[in-house]
Amino acid sequence: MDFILSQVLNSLAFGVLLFMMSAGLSLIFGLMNVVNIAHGSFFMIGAFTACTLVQMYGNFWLALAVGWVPAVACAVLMERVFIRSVYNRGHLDQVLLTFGFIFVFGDIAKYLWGADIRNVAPPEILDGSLQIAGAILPKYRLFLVFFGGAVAAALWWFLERSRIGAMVRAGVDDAATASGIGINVPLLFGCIFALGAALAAIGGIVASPIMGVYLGMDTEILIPAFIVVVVGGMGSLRGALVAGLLVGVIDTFGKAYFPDYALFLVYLLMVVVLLARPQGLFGLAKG
Amino acid sequence: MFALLCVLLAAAPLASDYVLGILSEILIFAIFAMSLNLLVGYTGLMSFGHAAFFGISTYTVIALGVHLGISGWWGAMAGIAAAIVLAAIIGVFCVRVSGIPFLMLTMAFSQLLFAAVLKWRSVTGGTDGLIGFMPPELFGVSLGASAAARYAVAATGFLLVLGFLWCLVRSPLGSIFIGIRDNEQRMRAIGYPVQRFKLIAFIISGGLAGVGGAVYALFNAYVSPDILHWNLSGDAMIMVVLGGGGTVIGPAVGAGIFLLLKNLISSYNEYWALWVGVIFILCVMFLRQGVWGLVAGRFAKWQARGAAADAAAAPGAAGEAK
Repeated sequence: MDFILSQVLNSLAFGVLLFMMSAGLSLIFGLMNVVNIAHGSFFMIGAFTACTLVQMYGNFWLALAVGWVPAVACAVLMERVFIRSVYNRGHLDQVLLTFGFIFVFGDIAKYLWGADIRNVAPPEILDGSLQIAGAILPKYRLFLVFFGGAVAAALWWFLERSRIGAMVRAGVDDAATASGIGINVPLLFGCIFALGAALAAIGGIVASPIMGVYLGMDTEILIPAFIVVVVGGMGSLRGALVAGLLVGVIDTFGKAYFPDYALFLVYLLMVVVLLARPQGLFGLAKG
Repeated sequence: MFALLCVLLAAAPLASDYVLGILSEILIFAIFAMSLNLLVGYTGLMSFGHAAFFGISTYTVIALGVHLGISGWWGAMAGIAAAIVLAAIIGVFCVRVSGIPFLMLTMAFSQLLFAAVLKWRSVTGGTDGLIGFMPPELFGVSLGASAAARYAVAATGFLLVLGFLWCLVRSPLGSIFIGIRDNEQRMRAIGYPVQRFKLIAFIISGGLAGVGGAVYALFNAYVSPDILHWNLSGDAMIMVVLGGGGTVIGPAVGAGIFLLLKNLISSYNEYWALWVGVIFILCVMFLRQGVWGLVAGRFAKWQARGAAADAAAAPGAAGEAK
């Protein structure tokens, strides 16, 4: 029982990280049909920034509060200067552009931070663990789950209740009509791109105490995030949340119970979902 | 032009072993990039998992040789067959979706294979890879001993694939692929089973990548999991874009530029990926038709101007020709 409880906590913690990564990917895709292959780079930049801030000021909360700024700056630059310039070409050109940025961001991170693996200490108040029902639960992971839940709730409120959220939903449904009724879709896309980058960077910041910080973490998180987006359905926030948790649970329990085959379970999930519903669990069939 | 290429390839054995090694590598990755281009440039399918087919073929050749002592030539046949079978299996799932989900799926499947190879240590050697492959002989010369023999194999493979693709894109089947790239809905409306033709393109492309992988195995006599990582799929995509998709020879030109750049820059500093990234981004933004597309475009214009001048000089002859 206690073993299961701690595994549940681990799966939820991994699940919310995946959610933060894939929510941005999914929204960007829903709005503009573009997948940002360099999305993992924002995750990595966030983690490295957090690492530096914690080293300099010894304060994790400061890192969480402002550590996402460099990643968002990179995202704005990338969207404004580069992606915007191939706006009127096919979506695939935009995807190719984002692919080129993986190399650029990767080498800039290598130049600034070097190739060593770094660790980030969790804040003191979250160090150690709690004992609940006989299970030893690390406090930091509990925090991570609550934090992820709060982010999901805030995003939900933003999309479903705010005016900008309504514009985003209109854009996801039908970008042409949305711009016809006076919504500035390119500006909206820029904002969502930045928001997605902020989410990924915050994911990287909160992931750094449990994952460590290293070059290559950008592409390592990208593949599971892609699987989450495919399983959950492109453009669906609910899909990203459900699929993120599902992948988190399957991956963690798979590793605990069938260590040799854990890797394949997540892919199996993807194949089954695609055969039954090619558009993903919560995706709308798009032409 | 084809004859010129043959001459270039035949004359190259006069060069030193070092140059031959680089040339062979370029030809092998040219095969790989051209096979990817059948999907990207001709059928409009953005695959980011093409390393799977290249890699499974290399692994098959080396593993059969190391574990069972099977000659590299038979191994190469088996490797290509393995790539075709794998492409058929992955393809069945991937062609159900298109556009960006297709990209993500191909990438995920190739990473799955990468992970499987890391795990299956008894056969694949895990992260260490497989060593101890005995290269086969070509006309009595071991491929392990002679750079010229390895080069001959790479050049033969390259010319075969080039010729095959040359014919394929001019065949009715090639026209169907191009039709799917240009307007999938129209093709469907005309009555073509688009998914089935996408699968055919996927399998042919995978098989050709398998040819590249098999030649690479004979060339290198060693394999490690890097060959299956999606970094290699990405490299192939860069070669296609640099050289120019949508032409048969463009990706081969791209492979040459990419590998020469990589060799050149990495001998000066360690940040070669940054430069490759920057060049790639600029190429997507300002030179979408690729280096070969630019050259071929200029050449066609120059030829047209020459033809126009000829026609002006001899209007009677031009009239007769019509």
